[in-house]
Amino acid sequence: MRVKATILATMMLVSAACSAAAPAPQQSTEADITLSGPVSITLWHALSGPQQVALDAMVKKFNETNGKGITVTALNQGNYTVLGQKLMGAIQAGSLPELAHAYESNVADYMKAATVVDLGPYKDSKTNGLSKASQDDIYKGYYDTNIFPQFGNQLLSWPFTKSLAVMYVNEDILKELGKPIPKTWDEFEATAAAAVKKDASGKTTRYGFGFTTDASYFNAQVYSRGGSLMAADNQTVAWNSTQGLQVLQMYDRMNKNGSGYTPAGFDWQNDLPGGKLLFYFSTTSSIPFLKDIADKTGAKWSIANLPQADTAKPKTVQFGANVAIFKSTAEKQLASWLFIKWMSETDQSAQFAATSYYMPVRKSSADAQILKDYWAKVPQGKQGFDLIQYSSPEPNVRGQQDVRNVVSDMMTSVLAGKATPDAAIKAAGDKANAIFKDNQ
Amino acid sequence: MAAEVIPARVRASPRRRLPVETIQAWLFLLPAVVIIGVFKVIPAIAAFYMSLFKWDVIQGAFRGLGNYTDWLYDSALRSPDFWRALSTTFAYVIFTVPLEMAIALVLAYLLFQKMRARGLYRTLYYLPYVTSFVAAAAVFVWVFNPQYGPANEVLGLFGIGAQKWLEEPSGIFELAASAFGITLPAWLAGPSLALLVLSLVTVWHYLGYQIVIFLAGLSNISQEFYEAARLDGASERQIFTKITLPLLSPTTFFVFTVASIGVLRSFDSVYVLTNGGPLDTTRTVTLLVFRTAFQQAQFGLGSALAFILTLVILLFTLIQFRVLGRRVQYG
Repeated sequence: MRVKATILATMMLVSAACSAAAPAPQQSTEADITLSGPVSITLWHALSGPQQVALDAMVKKFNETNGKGITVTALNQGNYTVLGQKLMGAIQAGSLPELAHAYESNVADYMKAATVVDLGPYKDSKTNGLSKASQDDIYKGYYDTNIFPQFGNQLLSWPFTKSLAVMYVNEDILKELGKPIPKTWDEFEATAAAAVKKDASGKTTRYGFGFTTDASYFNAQVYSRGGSLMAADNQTVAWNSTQGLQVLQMYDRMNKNGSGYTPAGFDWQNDLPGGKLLFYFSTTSSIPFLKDIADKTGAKWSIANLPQADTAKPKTVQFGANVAIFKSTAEKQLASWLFIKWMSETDQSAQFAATSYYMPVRKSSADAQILKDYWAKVPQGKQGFDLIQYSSPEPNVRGQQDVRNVVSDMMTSVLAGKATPDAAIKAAGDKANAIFKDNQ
Repeated sequence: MAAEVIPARVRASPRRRLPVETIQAWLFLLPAVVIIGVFKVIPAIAAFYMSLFKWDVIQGAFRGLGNYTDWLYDSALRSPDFWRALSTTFAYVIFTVPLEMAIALVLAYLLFQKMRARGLYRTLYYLPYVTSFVAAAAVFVWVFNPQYGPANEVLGLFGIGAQKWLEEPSGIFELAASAFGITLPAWLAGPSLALLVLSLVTVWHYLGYQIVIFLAGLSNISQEFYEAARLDGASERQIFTKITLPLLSPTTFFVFTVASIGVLRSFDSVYVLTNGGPLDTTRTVTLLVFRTAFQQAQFGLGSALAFILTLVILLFTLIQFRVLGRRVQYG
């Protein structure tokens, strides 16, 4: 016991030195109270650069206008990985911030220690919640991902910095080929193959497609081919199916016939507007980076949905992080809720989207002037916005973060010629299921 | 009399209880004791304590040595990862340490000779060591970029096809054989090209440090030996192999031990260059510890693995002492 006490005391000391002080977690589900006096809360996040500037501006506006004495302090904690690690440390030491920016798999980890507040009662609170119409205004996909079946369908986070998987297209190359943006996977493959160019030495100077081995884009392709990611019981994967196999087979074919290549790092952001690449799958958050380079090269580019198996029922992956509230005092929890509720209201959501390049979380934000002005300058932002309705979340069960690595390795092994698509998907499916089992 | 005895006791007793020298010594030691205690000893004890429990985000049931046996043989999910990571770690040592030492020794020997601008050369070779590895890694990632990196351009000059370098999971023997149209079985493929590149970058980084140690070792060898050898008509090669190398053996042994331990526990170099990929072919044990503890939140398993690695390093060092320590000639 003495050893344990020493360990805990040390952890608390180190953690207290590294983090903003916060009270020990207390159980409270009081969602209908009113604040009795000034409240200070801290938000740990992973936004940097222009996105941090955008968030800081929103926080400043909230602090000045909320009229309830709530003061939010937003602190960048590094990237998402580092943020997750710091929160793990804070859980051990019992000194969590009131709010944290988090992906679904992070929230599932934090729930292992039962530290996250169920937002259901807050959302439905008569005094502090949202009306039915207001709730329905939030995109269903962006909302649904915060409901955790593994934890009794509680609402454990709230949409915050959202985006979705889309296809970036070099319009100049498409025009040269005299082809439209492909709607089906067959058209996609044919168009990509037609785009390939080689120099006199036989070296490829232009590719049709840039492979990405990020799991989200495999998932997006499974969705677009009509497949599912998880079985109905949410305990085993469903992507190890015909649709998943089709994705790998297409990668294999395009790799072997030379119409695709794997760009290193963010090279595709130079290659596509540089006229060396026709198609790439990425998040809508890449828009500002692509715009910067395209403005210099003068390339015409656009955003479209991924090709689909059933064009009448298009589907892609939605992603981006959410925000979770940690258990503290009833007043701090309420203050935290009031802040994130405010952030997701129509005007604020539109303003944050226009300054941070993330997607607004509400349909009604489309009417906001600030967003219209932004879209007039960056039409690709609107092209992405119009696709939100087709986006669905990825699994939010514990272990998914690890399974993402398995999926990524599965694609890499096919592209590196280390495994056939059949063998790769079989091995990856088995490993993913073992991981989910281990996490239950 | 009594009045004289009592003050004597009063004078003597505080000296015995609080000797000024002892207090001073402790005060001087205090900063080091606090720093080592807080940042090394207590975390190590905490990690050992955690390694005995199921610590999945928070403390769970006591598992005894369960976490250790999971890694070694018990868990179909963990154990293959451990053995693979251990073999990768040793391949990394084998690629890195001998090459690093050979180059460092040759360069140190050259830099030890009387030559023009010796100081400048010594500084130049030491520069990589004082360069931040993370900053240097950014440059190497560019050098080995499969599309635009100069490494492939250099290969192109010799008519050799472009390589994927840090993104190449295929084994080096497999790649070499495939250049001649031979397909090797998987078990003969060898460590990945990515691991070889990682080793080369590591050699580049630590070379300067080892040169300095070798230079110090060389300067400890008395000039009398060289003079006597030259009088006896020994050739330069004989002088190097019969005098320099044997008398340098304590330094060589020290460099070998320290470099091996350094590579066995290295983390930053792998993390920034490959992060364990491609296809886990550069996932060393330290990276597996990191993934288990900080990405999967399995602190118990992660701590156990860290202790297993400590034991492996200890064992490896003991073997080095047993096998090579005896051959060291101390002047």
